[in-house]
Amino acid sequence: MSAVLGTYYNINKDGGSGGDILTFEAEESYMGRVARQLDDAVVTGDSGDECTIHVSQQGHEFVEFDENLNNFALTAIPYDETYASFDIISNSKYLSFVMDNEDLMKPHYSIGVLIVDEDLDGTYTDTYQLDANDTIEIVGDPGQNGYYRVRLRIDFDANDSSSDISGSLVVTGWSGTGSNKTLEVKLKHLHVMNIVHT
Amino acid sequence: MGQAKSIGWLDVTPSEGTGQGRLTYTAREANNGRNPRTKVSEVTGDGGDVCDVTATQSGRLLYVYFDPNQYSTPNSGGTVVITGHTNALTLTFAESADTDNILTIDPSGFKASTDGGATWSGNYITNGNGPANDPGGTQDWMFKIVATVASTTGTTDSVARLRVTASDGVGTQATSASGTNPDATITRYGAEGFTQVGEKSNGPWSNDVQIALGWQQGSTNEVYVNSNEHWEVTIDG
Repeated sequence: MSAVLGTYYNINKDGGSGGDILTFEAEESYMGRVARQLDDAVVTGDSGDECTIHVSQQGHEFVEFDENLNNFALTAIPYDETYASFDIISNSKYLSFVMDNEDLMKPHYSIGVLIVDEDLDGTYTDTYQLDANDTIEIVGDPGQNGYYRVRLRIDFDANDSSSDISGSLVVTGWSGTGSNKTLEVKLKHLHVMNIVHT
Repeated sequence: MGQAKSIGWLDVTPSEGTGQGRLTYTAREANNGRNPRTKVSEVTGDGGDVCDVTATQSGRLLYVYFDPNQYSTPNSGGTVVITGHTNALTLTFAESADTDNILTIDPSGFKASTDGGATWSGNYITNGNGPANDPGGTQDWMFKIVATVASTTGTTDSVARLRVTASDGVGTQATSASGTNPDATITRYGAEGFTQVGEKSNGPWSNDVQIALGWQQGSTNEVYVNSNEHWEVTIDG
């Protein structure tokens, strides 16, 4: 007995006789937040009895690093660098940004340009300028049935102190449904290295 | 020409005459028994002379046949009473075909009737034996045997066949399965086909269900099919 291959899911067999079990398997991951309805499957008996199986795929909410674009759990910024930039992917309707060590980081940083690649084609649109500890609503809520990429840039003053400055940026995605997802970005702004005069 | 005179199964014509004459003897009834039978008629003259004429009718060759020879049950099966006629001394029943094992012959045996089925022997006659006093020696007698047909939920018809072999006890046998006296055919009709689906192995069943797959590639879910027939699966779109 052969399998039935669909666009979004497969079924383990294309027919049988008598009682049996059909196993449906998702062909691809679905990155949207809201469940999507897929094509119906139909079981037809020789007597003419026709049974319809409505198939949906569950959604889920997430905020993650975009692994394809060189992000790190711990971002070390040289003392004289003025910004850190990294991409995250999410399907949340809202994103909020909170620096947990604000007393140490402030006023040495600001969350800069936040731009969104909704179509995942490398073209960034929908630019947001954030204040520290800010929340944005993603225009059009593309996360309902897909996901988007966000490029985040944090600008720092140069760290000319004698010690590193550490902090965490917590990115929270939420959509008003009661649950949320978080992503912690650990930052370490390196101190000035001792300069040896020769 | 005088009228015929009946002596049991024998007619004699004429019943009287004068002078020279010719008597015609006619068997009014068939002799279905295996054994020949005789009747003696007397020709009595007015002078007191009495002449005996013995007429002998041959017996019928050993025979047995099912009547009717076609039986059927619905898919739920049930009891089938199979009847026939014979002039045998003994009868032996056996299945000649039962691929799907639908048939169970009553192990108690069969019963006999010498009055055309109006009354039946009280006791069972075990397979391979015959009724008391060998009625087949002198007449046709009926047999009946009960078979139980098993039920099925399948949609395919099933056929079983029952064969009967008659014996006269002295080496002659007759059997069904000949062209004019076939084996009894018992047909169990298949069930009406149906196909249903459900989310659990024990139902409830319907023709419309909703399932959800997890968001991840490779996530699975199951649908149970409840059916007694062949079915096929397609995806719309």
